Order: sequence, then C-alpha cells, then structure tokens
Amino acid sequence: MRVINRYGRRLASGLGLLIAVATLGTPALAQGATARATHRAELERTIQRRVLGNGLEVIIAPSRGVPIATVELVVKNGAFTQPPEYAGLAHLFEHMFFKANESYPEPDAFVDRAADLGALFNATTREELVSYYLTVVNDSVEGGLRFLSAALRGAQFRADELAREKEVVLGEYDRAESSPWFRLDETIGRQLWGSFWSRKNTIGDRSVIRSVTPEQMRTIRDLYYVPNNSALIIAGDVDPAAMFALAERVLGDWPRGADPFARSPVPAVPPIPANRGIIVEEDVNAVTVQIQWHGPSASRDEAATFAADVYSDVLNQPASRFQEKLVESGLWQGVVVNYYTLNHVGPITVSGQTTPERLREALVVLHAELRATLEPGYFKEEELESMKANRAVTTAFGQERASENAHTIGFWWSVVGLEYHLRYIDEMAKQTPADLQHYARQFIIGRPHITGVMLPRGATRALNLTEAELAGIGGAR
Amino acid sequence: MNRSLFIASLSAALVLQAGRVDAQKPVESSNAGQVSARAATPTSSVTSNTTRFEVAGVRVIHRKTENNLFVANLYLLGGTRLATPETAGLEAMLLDLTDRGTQKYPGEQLRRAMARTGSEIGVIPHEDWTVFGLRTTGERLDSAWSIYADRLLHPTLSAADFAFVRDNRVSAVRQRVDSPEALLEYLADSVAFAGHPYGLSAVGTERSLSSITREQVVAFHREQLVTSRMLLVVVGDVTRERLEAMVRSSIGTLPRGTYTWSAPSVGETRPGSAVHLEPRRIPTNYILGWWEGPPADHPDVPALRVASAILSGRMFGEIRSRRNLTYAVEARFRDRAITSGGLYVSTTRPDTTLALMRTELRNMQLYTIPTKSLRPLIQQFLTEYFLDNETSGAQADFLARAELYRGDYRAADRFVADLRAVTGEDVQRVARQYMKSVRFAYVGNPSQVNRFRLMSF
Repeated sequence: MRVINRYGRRLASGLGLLIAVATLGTPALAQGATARATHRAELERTIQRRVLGNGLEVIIAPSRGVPIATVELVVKNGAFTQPPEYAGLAHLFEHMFFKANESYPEPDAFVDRAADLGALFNATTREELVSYYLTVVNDSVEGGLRFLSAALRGAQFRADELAREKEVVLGEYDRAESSPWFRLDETIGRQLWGSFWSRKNTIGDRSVIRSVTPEQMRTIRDLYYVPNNSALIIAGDVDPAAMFALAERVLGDWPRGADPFARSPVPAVPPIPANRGIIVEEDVNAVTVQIQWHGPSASRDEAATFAADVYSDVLNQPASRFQEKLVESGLWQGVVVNYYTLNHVGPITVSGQTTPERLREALVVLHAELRATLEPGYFKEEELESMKANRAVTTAFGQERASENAHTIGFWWSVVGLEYHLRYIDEMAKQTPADLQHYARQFIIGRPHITGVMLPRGATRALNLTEAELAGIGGAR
Repeated sequence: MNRSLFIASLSAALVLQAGRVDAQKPVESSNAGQVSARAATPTSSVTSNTTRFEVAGVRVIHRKTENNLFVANLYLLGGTRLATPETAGLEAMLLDLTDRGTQKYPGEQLRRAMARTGSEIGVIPHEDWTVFGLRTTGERLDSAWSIYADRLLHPTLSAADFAFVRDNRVSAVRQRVDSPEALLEYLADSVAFAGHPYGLSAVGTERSLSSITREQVVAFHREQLVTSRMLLVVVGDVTRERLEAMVRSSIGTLPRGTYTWSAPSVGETRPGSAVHLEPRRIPTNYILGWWEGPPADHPDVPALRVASAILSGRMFGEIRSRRNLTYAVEARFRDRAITSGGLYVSTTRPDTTLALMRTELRNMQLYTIPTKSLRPLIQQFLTEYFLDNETSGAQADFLARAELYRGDYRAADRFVADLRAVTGEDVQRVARQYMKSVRFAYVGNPSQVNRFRLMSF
C-alpha cells in the first residue's frame, strides 16, 4: 500500500529529523545499514530456511518476545522489472493484491477476512522487491497464511476494481508530488539513471497508471508471481518445524514458473555520461543539496557494499572530522552520507541543508572534504571501533522487533540473498581504512555525479547560480 | 543514521500508543463471530517483573528483563504547560544543548566518548513531557550512564554552543512549513487547541526559539531540573540494587523542587468549530481536524478508542475503497493527558469527501452497532497491543503512560480488558458526546472547499 522513497528521506538536521518523525511517522528500512545487522553465528542459531519443491524459499525467524507472528511474502518484483510502459505498475499490482480473489470474490470480503483474523496488514513496493505482510496473534498464523495465499493465487483483477484502485494510486501520486522534494528527486533521478529511470521509479508515471489494463496485471503476475521468484518469511513466536509443515501444506502446490529474468532480462544501468547540475525552485525556506553517484551493485561488487556502509557510518558520526568540518563549522545545518544497497547499482547520496548565502562555499568544502577521505590517516582506528560498538548496540535492539526482522530479512533476500544478510556484520567488522579509501576512489572521488539543489523561489537569480556552475563544483569530469 | 533510528523508534512508540488503527475496515462483518472462540487473552504482561519505587526523590518504574538491553526513559513532566508562546521549545533546546559538552566531558570529548559506547541518547519533546532517553547494552551501561547523567547534571551550556544550537533549531523549525504534511499537523494543533497548552508546539516556533536567551536556558536548567518533575522508566537487564545506586549518585542529587503532576484543564478554550485555510499550490489538499476528548483516565476512553477505529474503517471503506476519492483517510485517537480525536484526509475533491466523512460520523452517532460485531476490531487491537510492546522502548512508554495518565503503571494490563468491555451503545454514546466541534486546518487550494463544510462537524 505504500511506496518507499527511492533514497530514503534526507534527514540532515537533527531537529528536522525530530519534527519529521514526530509528525509523519517512522522512517522505513531505506535508512541503510543499521537495522539489518547481526553476527552470522547468532543469526544461524535462530534463522532457519528451507526451499520447497516448487522453489519457494521459506525462512523462519522465531523469537519469544510477545505472542504474535508476522507473515511476509516477498516477490522479486518492484521498479527494477518495469520497462517504461510499466512504470508504476508493480506498485499498482501491489494494491490490487488486496482486492477480490477466487476465495473472497466480493470486493470487501478479503479485507473483512483480515479483520476476522485480527490481522494488521500492509504491503510495500520498493526498487527491487514487493512485500505483503500481516501480523497476527500466533494462533492465527495458519489463517493468515491462507489469507495471503488466496490473494496470491486467486487474484481476479476485475476491471471495475482496477479502474477504482488506480484512482487511489493516483491519489498517492498526488501526495508524493505535493512534497517539495518530489521534483528534485525526480529530476535528479532522470539524469542519474537515464534509460534505466523507469526501473528505479517506484511511484511510476501518471500516464501509465491512468491507462493500466487488467491484462498488464496478469502479465506481471504470470511473469513474477511464481514460487521460484518468491520467499515466505515468518517471524515471531512460532515453532519452526510447524511453520515449515504449514508452508508446505498451504503453498507447496503453488506451481513453479519459468525464470522471470530469463524471460525478461533486466538491462544494464547506463553510466552517467558527465557531471550535471540541477536547480529546482520550490516554496521552501532552506537550501537542500543532493549529490548522487552510481554506487556498487550488491552481487557484482559485494566487497564494496560493505566498505560503502562503513564509509557512510564513519562520516555520519557526530564526532567525525567530516561533521566537524561541515556542520560544526556552520556551513551546513546537517549532512548525511548514504549508500543504498541494491543489486542493479545502488545510489550513493550525500545530502544536506544550508543557506543560500553559504551554498557555494558549503559545496566547495564538502567536495574538498570528500577528497580528503583519500588522505593517509583520515580514517582512524578509534572511529572504526566506535562503529563496531554502535552496530553491536543497534543489532541488539533491532532483534527485539520480530515484525521488523521479517521486513529486514525480506529486503535482503530479494536484493542480494539471505547469505549476504548472514555475513553482513562480520564483513563490516573486517573493513579497514584502505578498504574505505578504495571504495571512495572507485565510486566517488572524481567520478561522475549529479548535483541537485532545491532553492527558495527567486534564489537562483539572486545568487546568479547556474546548473553549469553546479556541475563544475567538485572537480573532474 | 543510528541516531535517526533511535529517535524514530522512540517516536514510533509515541505514535503507536496513540491507538491508531490503519486501514481498518468496518466491523459489521458477516463473519464477525468467528473469532470469539479464539484465545484472545494476553499471555504475557507488560507489567511482569515490574516494580515502582522512589530513589532520592526520583520516582522509578523498573522492568527487569534478561536480554542484555538497557532502556532508560526520563520523563521530564509538564511539557508545554511549562511554556508560553515566547518560550515554547526551550526544554528541548536545553537538552540538545547538553550534547555540546559537560563538566566531565567538555566539548568534542563528549561526542567521542559517546561514540565509543556505541549507545544513543535522544530527546523527544511532547505536549505532556520531554523524554530524555538512553539506549545501551549491559556491558556499556556504566560508561553510557556516566555521559547520560552528566548531560543532565553538569552541562556546559556555553554561549557559543547555545548560539550554534539555537541557530540550527530555528532553521529546522522554519523548514517545518516546507512540507505540507508537517505544516498541516502544526496548524491543526494551533487551531484546535488555541489558548490551551496543547496549542503550543513542543519543539517551539521560529519566533519563540529566536527570542530565547542563554540566560533563560541556564535558569530553566537550574530551576526546572528537579526530581519532583521526573519519572524514570527503566526496562533492562539490571538489578534494582544497581539501578538504585546509579540513580542515587546521579539524578538523585538534583534538588527536589515542588512540582506536582496533574492533567491540564479540559475544554476551557474551545467555543466550537473553527477553520484555518492555508493556501498552497500543490496537487492535492490536506485536511486535519481535532475534537477534544475526556482526560485519559476517564472511563469513556476505551470506547473512544474503539469508536475512532470504527470511524476510521468506515471512512476507509466508503471514501477510499468504494469512492476512490483518496489514498489516505483516517480517524485518529490521540492518547495524551487530555485525549483528542482527529479526522484526516488528503484529496483533490475536498467538498465531496468532507460530506462523506460527515455522513459516516453522523451514522456513528445515529445508529447503534451490535456489540458482537466489535469483536474483530478488539482482536486487531490485541494484535496491535502486542506489536506495540515488542521493544523495550515501547514497553517503557506504555508503562509511563499508564502511570501518568491512569495513575498506576499496572493499568497497562487493563488495556485489552477495558476494550473488551466496550459495547455498541458505548460507542454510539461517546461518538455523540465527543466527536463534535471539530476544528480544522486545511492546506491546499482554498477555492476547492466550502469553508462552511468544514464548520459543519
């Protein structure tokens, strides 16, 4: 029912963040590395997995906190499977999942059944997955799984329901577009991804959504909604053996399909041809800067993804030299570095907020400081140790929330595989300053990037700022 | 990034405890009776292994766990009741400022020492209190607590740090108007609770933050950081003896003061409906209105939670599922010392949508729902109750709310039983009694809405 931001929201200012979460709810998984980590040995003690005969991977993550369980179905679908004529339809499909199906043929019956189960349910579409999940008291897991199975295997895609639901999705689009950051994100995204844009654009294209047909929905289902492209995750107060047996009973006869990516391969992401500057003006007070590079692809350059997360974590530490030079100096109100792990080129983003009068100097110093990360001794052992300590604490707290654990496992299973998730913390701990610098040299310093700036109305002229000038700040290419 | 997650988890607790049930359907399901036979009784209690005691004037609620985690939420009571329009946001600014250095950890040393612990300290302002929270693990507890306590007891509060923090906060609050959603939330509170402490922003306004002086902050720290204004809730793997010693040697050394916690007054400043229209050139319109409920310990509160969830489900079914006029429509319930409820929607057709919302509300008030059809909804509340209490932080918040709003942390255990006791007649009665005189804020195109439509609730 929701689309997750492409890059996670910029949350450069502490107070800005505070206001954002206090009024708008909780930022989701896209925040990056911190929610997903734990030691492999410990994870392997708890996480159990099995592949059914039809290719469905079943992952059980038991915990004994409270007597509930989250049942999550994850499908390797999402924006990355969308050619331009399907832009936004992975998300619309996700909405249609909750409509009439063969078991619950009346429009309201499906949702009524969820209420009967006492289930809280929702769904999420991201770049490289779509997930459907519900949380129930643990004696209702079977009912919950059968509820999901009915939708998965019996969706009808009635034309009348599709016509209505697309209006709801367009309403979601209206909300996204009402955000002052929408145009900045979209304009940068088009430049960053070029012909791959529709495969990064989760919310999609208005005209595509408007003209959707039931046939397109069936095409998505037939291609991607097959057990050998899906995983079932059950996290919470459950018995693994009983859950495996239940999964076999309910989904074991779901027929295997062809490999969707053999039938419809995902093309390569085209490189950024040259540095570009982008200026958008909105009714805003602050200057928002968002600079993006192409980062590593998880399965092709796995080592770089670990270095990327440690690099970001160190620079984001309040006590880091990076924060000292940029934020403590007063040039920026906040700066956040992020790598978003994806299998088809994850973006590296540096975002922050400053004032119109400080913008030029802020950008120059930011790039100088990024270059400085290549200097010998920039990353100190103490900083890496602090990051380890922080990950240990964050991991311990992350394990408390079984429902979130299901989302975390689902994300990693779809993007790069469960194995990556299991090894994550151990690999992070191995990163050295040389690894971080290698990553920066390979993906950031001197590499083509897009610099987007969102200014208050009239500020571009007042500053005499041009997109060409923005593209030139930061050096090479 | 880590800090953001920490604050998010704290806030999530606050939001979730407010009792919102998203995507709720109407409860008059033909299969409503099916769940009645299922076990629906909490098998674990948020108050198990929990004790309450006082240490050197500090009221402490301690839930002993065995998972090596340690959460301390210090509730500094009073919230916006301690503020004026000129000082709103002062306490949060003070607590942020303590991150800039203390006697034991001056300047940069504090941030480095904190980083070494891997732990997190966060500040969450709220209308009834400000939470100063710590998240750490057993092996890091001593070092993290030392920093946490020193920030409370001996902050440096230097002039340069004050200027830095104030500038950042002013700038951040100025950006609140950049997001239509955030602006709506702020305006709706300002309109609905004008003249009442809940009408003040707990994080402050550009005007208030700009005018606050360092001297005011120093004086606030000296006069208001008193143990009578504190409730410390600890959920963690620590013995009572050790916890008592930690509190006695730190927070317990603060002056006692004379603060007495009480709920703010109800209804004194609410003459009836009101509307604020904020023009914005955006593709849709955001609408949020609040009605005022009874104090949190009033016996009508469980019925109001249920009524809000039912209304939410009905509006979702009619306005989103059947009419497709919106992506987001809901009725909210807000759990504060004085409860309130809200009506929220974003839509390109506000007049039509508001008329339908009005009809759904009227139907709630005119017709009695069979009590047996409430059961699926109660089952969903039960699921949500467990979901809300998965984490130590959420448990701490649940305990604090029971203690402060209902007078006893053990009232947390009555949450589900109280909901189960609600009848269809109760729902109709509270809908009539409280769901009225809604005061709306509207952000979008004013020409698309009839102002009187907003006044008709």
